[in-house]
Amino acid sequence: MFKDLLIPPKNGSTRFIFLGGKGGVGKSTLAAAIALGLAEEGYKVLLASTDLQKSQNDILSQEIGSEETKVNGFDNFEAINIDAKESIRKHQLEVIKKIGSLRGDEAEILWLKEYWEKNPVLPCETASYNVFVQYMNSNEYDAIVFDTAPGGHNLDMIGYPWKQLDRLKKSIMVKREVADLTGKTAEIELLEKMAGDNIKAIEKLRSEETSYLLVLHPEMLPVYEAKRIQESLAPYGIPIKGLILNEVLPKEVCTNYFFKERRKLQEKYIALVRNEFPNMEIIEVPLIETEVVGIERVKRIAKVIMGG
Amino acid sequence: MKEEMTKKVILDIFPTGICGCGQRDAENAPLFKLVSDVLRDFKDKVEVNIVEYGTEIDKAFLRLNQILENSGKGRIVSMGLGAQVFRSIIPMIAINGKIAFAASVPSKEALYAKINEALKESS
Repeated sequence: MFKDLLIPPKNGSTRFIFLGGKGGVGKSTLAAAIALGLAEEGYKVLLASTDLQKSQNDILSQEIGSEETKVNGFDNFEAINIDAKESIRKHQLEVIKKIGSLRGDEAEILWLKEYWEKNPVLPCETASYNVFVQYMNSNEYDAIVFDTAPGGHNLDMIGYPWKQLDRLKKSIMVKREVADLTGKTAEIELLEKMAGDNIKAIEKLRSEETSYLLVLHPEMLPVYEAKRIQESLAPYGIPIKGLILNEVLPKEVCTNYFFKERRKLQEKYIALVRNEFPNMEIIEVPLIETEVVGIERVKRIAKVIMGG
Repeated sequence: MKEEMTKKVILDIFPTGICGCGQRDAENAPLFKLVSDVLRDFKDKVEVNIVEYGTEIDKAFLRLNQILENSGKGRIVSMGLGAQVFRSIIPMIAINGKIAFAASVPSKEALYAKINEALKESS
């Protein structure tokens, strides 16, 4: 069942849900609906958005901050708009926490603390990706739903732990080679811990705990887009586990020529999708008569998804 | 008559800033203060080369590689890790083509001791 891709694993670990797809296919709305649906079932959920448009503010009809913000009406549902500035601060705090656990020369540890307090050493565009890695290592939530910007940004974020791990490995290699000159060994331990976070994030991304879902409209171009995303994720070993066919015209309203024809077209592509992705869980989400804004309307979509 | 050459100690200074984000600029202030103290106190006994990045990055890499080789760190050069090497060892001061201090700005005493040592060796 499609729902099995969403509910947290029985072993108590966190479910990580990613939604990919072209811009405008409804990823943010569906991310909100999935998060809300899981929260309604009693799970502790975080909806983490890296969308610069902050669409979740409109969808959930409340101001979502750059800190985890409780969604109105829920004690177990939080949302966050991850922003670069706050991400740098969070990453600094995380690194400083790690420095606190290092054993090594006191002077070096003091230097490391000062260094990380003054120098975030993170280009702003990747700051939010580090927070993503932190969330991937967190056990605080039963499920985390990531609402990311379309296409490339989404894949950039997914691929970040690999890139960052590569950078850290190189840095560790160099620092080991010059440790006799710099006298800095605690820093190597710190970088190893940071690399460890990325390794864990990679393991989780490849595990059963992660569900990468693709959202598409039942039309020709999105089907090709789905194939392209599938190919882009393959090198990382991340499979697309489910497809959400969004804004499908409900059969019962397609009574005149125009809508009958549109419905026929959609059915053709739905059949194509089912044929192209035979082993994937697929769910159809209907187009509703109004825009999906506000908790009550999001609940309508959540009901469809959680029932699937 | 044979002209007596003044023996000089050559200092290569690799400041921070290679990462391009400028977030480590603060480390350069004490480094440059130290360099100006060295020039004031050692006058013509030292020659200071402050390595430039940006459009001069290729030259900086070549000089760094020479210094790494001279310092017995040729393995790093062969690893081909590029900017990672810079990031790991700057701010760096090399004396007579060999790494003297790496990854942090040394104390004035420590640097002066090494310059005096190098002057003795070259005299």
